[in-house]
Amino acid sequence: MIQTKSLSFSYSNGAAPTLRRINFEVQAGEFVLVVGQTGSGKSTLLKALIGLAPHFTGGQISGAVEIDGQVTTGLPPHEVAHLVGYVNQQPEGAFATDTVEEELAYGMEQLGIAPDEMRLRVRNVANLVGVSDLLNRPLETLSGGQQQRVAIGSALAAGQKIILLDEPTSALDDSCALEVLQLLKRLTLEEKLSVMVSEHRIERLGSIVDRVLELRGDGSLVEKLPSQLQVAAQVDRTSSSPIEQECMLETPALGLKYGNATALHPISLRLNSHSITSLSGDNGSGKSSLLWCALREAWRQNKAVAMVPQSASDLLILNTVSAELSAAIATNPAGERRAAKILERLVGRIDPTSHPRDLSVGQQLALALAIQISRNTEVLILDEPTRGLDAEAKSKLAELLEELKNEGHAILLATHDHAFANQISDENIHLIDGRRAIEN
Amino acid sequence: MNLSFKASQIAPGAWWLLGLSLAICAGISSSAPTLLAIQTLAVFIVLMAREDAPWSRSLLFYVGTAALVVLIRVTFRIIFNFDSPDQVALNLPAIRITFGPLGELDLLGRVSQSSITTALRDGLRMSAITLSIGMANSLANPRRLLKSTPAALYGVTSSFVIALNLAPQLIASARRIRLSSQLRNASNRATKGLMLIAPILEDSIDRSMALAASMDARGFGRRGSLTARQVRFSRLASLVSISALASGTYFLLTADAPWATLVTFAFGLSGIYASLKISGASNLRTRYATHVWQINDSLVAGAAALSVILFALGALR
Amino acid sequence: MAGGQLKTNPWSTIIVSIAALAAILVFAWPLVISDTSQASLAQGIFIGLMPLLLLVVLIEFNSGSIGARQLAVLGLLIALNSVIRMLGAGVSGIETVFFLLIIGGYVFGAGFGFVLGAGSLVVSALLGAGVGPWLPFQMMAAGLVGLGAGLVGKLTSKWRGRGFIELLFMSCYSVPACFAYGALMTLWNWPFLAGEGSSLSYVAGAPLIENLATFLKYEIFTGGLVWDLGRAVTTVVLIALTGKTLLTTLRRAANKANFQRI
Repeated sequence: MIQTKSLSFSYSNGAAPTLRRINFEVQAGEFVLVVGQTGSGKSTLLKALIGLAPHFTGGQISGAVEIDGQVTTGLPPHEVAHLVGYVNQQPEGAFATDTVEEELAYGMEQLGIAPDEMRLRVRNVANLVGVSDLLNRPLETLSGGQQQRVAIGSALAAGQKIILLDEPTSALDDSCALEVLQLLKRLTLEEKLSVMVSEHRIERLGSIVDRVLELRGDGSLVEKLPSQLQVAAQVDRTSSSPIEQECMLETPALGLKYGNATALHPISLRLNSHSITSLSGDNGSGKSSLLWCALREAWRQNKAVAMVPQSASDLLILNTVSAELSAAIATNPAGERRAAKILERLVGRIDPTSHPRDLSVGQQLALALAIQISRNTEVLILDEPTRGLDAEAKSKLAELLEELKNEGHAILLATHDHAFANQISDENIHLIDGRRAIEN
Repeated sequence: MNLSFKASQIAPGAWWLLGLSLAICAGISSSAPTLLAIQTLAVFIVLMAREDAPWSRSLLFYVGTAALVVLIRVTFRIIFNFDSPDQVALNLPAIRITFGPLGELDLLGRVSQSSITTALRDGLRMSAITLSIGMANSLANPRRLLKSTPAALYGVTSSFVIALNLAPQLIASARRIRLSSQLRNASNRATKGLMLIAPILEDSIDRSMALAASMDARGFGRRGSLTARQVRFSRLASLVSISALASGTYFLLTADAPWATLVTFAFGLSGIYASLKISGASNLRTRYATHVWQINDSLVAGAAALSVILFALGALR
Repeated sequence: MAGGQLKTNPWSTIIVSIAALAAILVFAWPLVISDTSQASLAQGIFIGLMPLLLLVVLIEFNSGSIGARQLAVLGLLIALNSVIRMLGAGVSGIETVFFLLIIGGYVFGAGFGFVLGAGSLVVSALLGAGVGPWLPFQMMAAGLVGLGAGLVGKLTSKWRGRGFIELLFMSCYSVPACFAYGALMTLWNWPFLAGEGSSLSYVAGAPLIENLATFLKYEIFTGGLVWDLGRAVTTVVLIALTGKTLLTTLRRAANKANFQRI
């Protein structure tokens, strides 16, 4: 179904090729997982298969891609769309219509499916991905997880035999993510779809996928067995000798309302030095709202605080990575060097002349983390700091946060990655529907 | 059988048919009470049928505009008046200003009854037309209306849909970027407005490129091809129609030849129709209808047609 | 696709030119009409005719091959311009909608400029500025401004890249363009607000010079010329302030993603 011969791809800035003479084959009914470190080219590979690379990313492609026996190298995406479905990494902001129903039907409209068939498929797919009660809702009112499910549903509805998904579960909590991946597995078995998924959260995938392709950092591809999937070793928790803790931030009850809807019922926080507090909860439970309230409260109290928001790329407003790192000097003279070191530690070397928007999602997050951490503030707030990071980068982040904790900082983070939260946090606040849930 | 007449239960096209037909009736009518009745009807329909949506909140604006138009018309007529001796309604001092090469200007003076009533009636007509169109706009969802445009305009309407989607995001985008630059600074100084233009624009362009990629990857841009004959025919149809419309306009304004005018306009309209059909032939897309035309839509459309016919026949003037 | 401009064919140019002439005739009907009994009929027909003229031009634009990328940038600029218009409208009628329109038309070409102008007006109307019988006329007038900016861009392509000179060209174009837009919209509301029979109204059948003189007096008395001047000044200032940045960013967007197949 998919076959590549000596596929190579490099972005225009003259750097080393991202993909180097890749050869592989995917047959009908196979569920293939693509893994690799942050920035190793997983997204690029999927984009090259559908033609988004080079048509929308710039760059040079060589070699051959064959889909269903037809050579599709260099064809623009809309001429490959009837063969291959594609779900992008960040669906928010890439919706072409207003409501869930219309978005599910969009791909079918472009492919000229008959109206009656479209109605049927919209209903079916909505059930499959669990958005049946959201059909009339405007897309901008959905949570990140719901939006991701709509994007996946839209691709499934269009009915191609090959589906490519780039980190389709990054915004979903653990149980939801598993559901989606199991759904895809079912479809490969029942409908003989070929599915290629690039993922970081590989912990439970060994039993689901048929094959694993790994992209090495140098552009080459190797095949591994699902049983060979490694999960990064847990960081040893240093047994904490009792340390004198002082209160870094104490907030009154913080609440948040949007019009009539209450996003967050009043919750008070107390952040101590030498501690990591995590907020957990499903999508839409109010984690981000609480973080922003805490941030504003800290500003109000004139505390030194740094935050990395959920959409880390918002923080990056300059033209090159080196400019961003230089701007980190602002408050801390040792800032630039420290930021560069943190960045390298998390995701390895990044070309300093590259434009931040051209980096992969994980690299952008690492850059944002590096900039904010280097400011060395007493309080550090992180919103979903693991989205887009591979297992190795995650464990390095965990190490880094442990060190910061030992230096005396107070860290507050929100994540739906339970494993990560359990691993490093001292205290966990679980939110359900904007309220603090009593843990047992 | 659910015969609801709430705004979203009726097809937007039906609302616009109703609005336009009311506007036409207002255009034909020449009696002030009828015009007032039309305006009251329009307002009544909006109040009964509207639902809570962004586009339904502008009723006050339209009513205000309608009132303003009548006021301006009458005031204008009184101020910029030719002093005339017959049927004097207002006796004001006559003024004459000279504008040099532009000639003279008469102001105030004796204002005749008929000029005031004419101004009132014309003003009411203009405001009735405005209010009718406003009614349609308050009840019809503009995005659903954009969905039902002909295939020959798909690209252009897509850009309008994209614009409607992106506009609220732009404001959120600007807010986010300002906030982010605050996150970077040690203090809470708001960053200079103009300095943020470049990043906001870059961010917006990146978003629109991401949107374009998502559209393209799902097949947007696939076109069938037209035969050379179809292309030539379509061009001919466009050329004929636009020339006909242009000449029709000229005839309407300068010559007193109603049949010539009518025929040329008919040619123009059919040319446009042909051009739409042919250009749309290369279309490979289908349309997902969120709303299927039902009985209540036909009732509304029927009422619209009926009112126009009655007015045209002179039954209600 | 040099510098982001779309290819045009001679037939489209002819069709659009005729449409533009017809549109101007439709705007200027009070100056030209010969028989007063036709007046209300003409007005009624023209409310429907202007949308048809818009349709013809938009069909021509759509029949060229336009990709998702160009449409996305077009949609973005329309959104941006609409938001700018809504924000500027709060400041007592200072029309801010033209500077981005002129710069956008200059960079991307005449067809793009037309749709940008028409689109900005209709989208901002849908977003809250209000839809009324004036809308098709505003769309056509703004479209013509964008079209003209594209033509200016094409004529001055020799000087591409010399920042200051390009700003000069755009500013020089914007002044008559703003006055022309004002004149067209005032021509539209002249019979709407002044009707017939008043000393400032048009007179059907009168010689053109006479009606023009009356029209000028109308402009003066309703302050139209003052609005136009304000519009022109705002536009020139905004072009001067933002022109350089916008030209660079927009040109980058136009040329984004060059690719080769080896």
